[in-house]
Amino acid sequence: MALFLGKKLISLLVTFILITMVVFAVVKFAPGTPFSVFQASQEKAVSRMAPSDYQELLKKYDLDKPMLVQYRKWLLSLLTGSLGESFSERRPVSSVIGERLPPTLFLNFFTLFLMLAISVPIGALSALRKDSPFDKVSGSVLYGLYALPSFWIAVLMILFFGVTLKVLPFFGMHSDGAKDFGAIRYTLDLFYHAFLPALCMALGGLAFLSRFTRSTLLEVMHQDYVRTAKAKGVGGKKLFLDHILRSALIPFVTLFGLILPEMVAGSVIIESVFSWPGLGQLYLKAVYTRDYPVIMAESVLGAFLVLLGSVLTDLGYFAADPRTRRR
Amino acid sequence: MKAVFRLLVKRKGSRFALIVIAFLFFVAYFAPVIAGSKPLVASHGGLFIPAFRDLFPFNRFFKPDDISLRLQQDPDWLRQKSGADLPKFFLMPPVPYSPVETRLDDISLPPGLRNRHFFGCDDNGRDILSRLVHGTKNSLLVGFIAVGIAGLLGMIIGGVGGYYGGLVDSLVVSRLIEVMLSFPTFFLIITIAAVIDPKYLNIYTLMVIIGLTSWTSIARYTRGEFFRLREIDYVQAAKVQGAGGYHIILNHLMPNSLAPILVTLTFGIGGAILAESGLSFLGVGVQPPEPSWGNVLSMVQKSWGSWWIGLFPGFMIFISVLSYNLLGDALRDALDPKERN
Repeated sequence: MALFLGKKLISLLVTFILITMVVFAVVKFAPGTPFSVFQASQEKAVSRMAPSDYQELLKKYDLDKPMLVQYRKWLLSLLTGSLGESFSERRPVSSVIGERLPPTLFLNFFTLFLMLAISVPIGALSALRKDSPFDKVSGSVLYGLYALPSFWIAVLMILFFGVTLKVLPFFGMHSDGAKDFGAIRYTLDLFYHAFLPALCMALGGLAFLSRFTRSTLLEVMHQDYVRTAKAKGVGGKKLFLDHILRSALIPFVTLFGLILPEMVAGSVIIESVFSWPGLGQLYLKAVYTRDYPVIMAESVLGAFLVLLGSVLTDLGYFAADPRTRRR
Repeated sequence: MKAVFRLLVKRKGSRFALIVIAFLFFVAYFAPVIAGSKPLVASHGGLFIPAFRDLFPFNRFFKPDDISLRLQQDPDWLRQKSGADLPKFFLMPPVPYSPVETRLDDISLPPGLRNRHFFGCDDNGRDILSRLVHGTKNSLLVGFIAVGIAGLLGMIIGGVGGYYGGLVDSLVVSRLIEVMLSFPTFFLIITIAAVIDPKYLNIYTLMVIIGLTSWTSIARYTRGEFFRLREIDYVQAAKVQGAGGYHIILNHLMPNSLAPILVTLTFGIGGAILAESGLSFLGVGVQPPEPSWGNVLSMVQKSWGSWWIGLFPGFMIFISVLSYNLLGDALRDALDPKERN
């Protein structure tokens, strides 16, 4: 196991370095500098910005050095945990990201909770009553959901619950004057605002998770030990909870590795539609203003999360399934 | 081939998908006749003017008619000849609005039959249906060409890794695939689309961007298939007979691994359409006034009161992605020899 993990870690490290190279290359080889975008969008600013000032700006942010020097400098500072300074906000990227991280984490965990809370029961029920009308109808509905673009769900939800019925908020994280609310009311208000975005994000993964639950449960239900347990007279709730569900949940560990990148990417669209002040919205903003340090930091962070997910998946497998430990 | 097609038509889901896809192709090709602000045919001063000919890509197969040529040289000629401003008879397209022209009188009009704004108007006074009809071509083109690029890249990269194996595979191909998989694809697409000068951001660059970032699943399938196939006797036999790598890949490995790749490509088309509309929705895809389903839908964010802007474009995206998913599933079953009987 130690050997396996060691190999895995080395390959992850290589992948991580390659990822930083790709991020760096994509951002640096794009035509223009952040200041040239500024020039293009505000013609008057160009005439006011003296060439010497422009050179000074390039120098201040090291944009005049050769690519390799810039890359080495960026990588070294990345390894020491410093992410540079945001061009547009003029403060350290780490503090910008630190500010945006909690809302995104909150939204993603809420989403994950909704996803599991809805999909596991649906999957379990359709596995237990295989080929029943419920199984067939939920199967087709979920299949349709799979093709549903998240941004369209978001638009429809806003139109229905936000605009027509006016029962759910769809803008930002807090109501007006939320600062004066008590702790309980503040938290409730937060969940109230997070409900629509989280639901929209959850619906995307719902189809996949429900079908996954169904198929793993069906697989487990036909295992020998389940039949043995049945033959020995274990039945009903105990059979399902202790024997079937427990081992059916093992593959769920792997899912986090798969779902994590999806959620990171999905939150870009959902956060921008719902004006949720998280990492996704920050990323889009950084991309519009060509805030290189923020773009690079977030891309690396995203890729890092994905790699972390894959390591955790392996570890989870070791922990959950005794059979893997013998390898 | 015939058997596969018969199976696709027989199955309910894929039959529906084939009908929808054929319909979308029809709409994409005949878009200029379905929606536009210029008459298709007119009769003016005793002359019959088949104006729709100018709207068509296949126009080049016909000789331009005399009247159009004459009018190009002398725009006032017809008016002088008949003495009237408007033609006596003219036939408009079923949706008589241009996808790009803005009409101040029609700003945010709800759907109506009488004024022929069947799907309503956006807050610039552009007809939604007309924009959707003309956007169909963009979505289909991006879907197919992006997947073509991704398929070619994926087959080459995956094929090299799968055929040669060893160090080439473990050092180059596998690392490349792993790096690409570590990025959330949509994240990467947004980044690339956003660092490109908006001037060059059109459907062609989108095709390339989406193609360059979504080859990984095809590469993985090709690699896996090649790994499996190259150990099989007939490939070994070809090798013993002195066949070169190029010959074996093209004549033995590729044709036999085509089935799973074809299925992945079909799903990929839906994915590419989804990616394009997502990008356009965020404003880093097809730039207005050029229509695309995604950028028509994104207009709803500026006027939440207009439900029709939110409903119809999203439905087009949904129905086409659904169709490619259904087709992909049916294709997978049809190409699987176990399912055939």
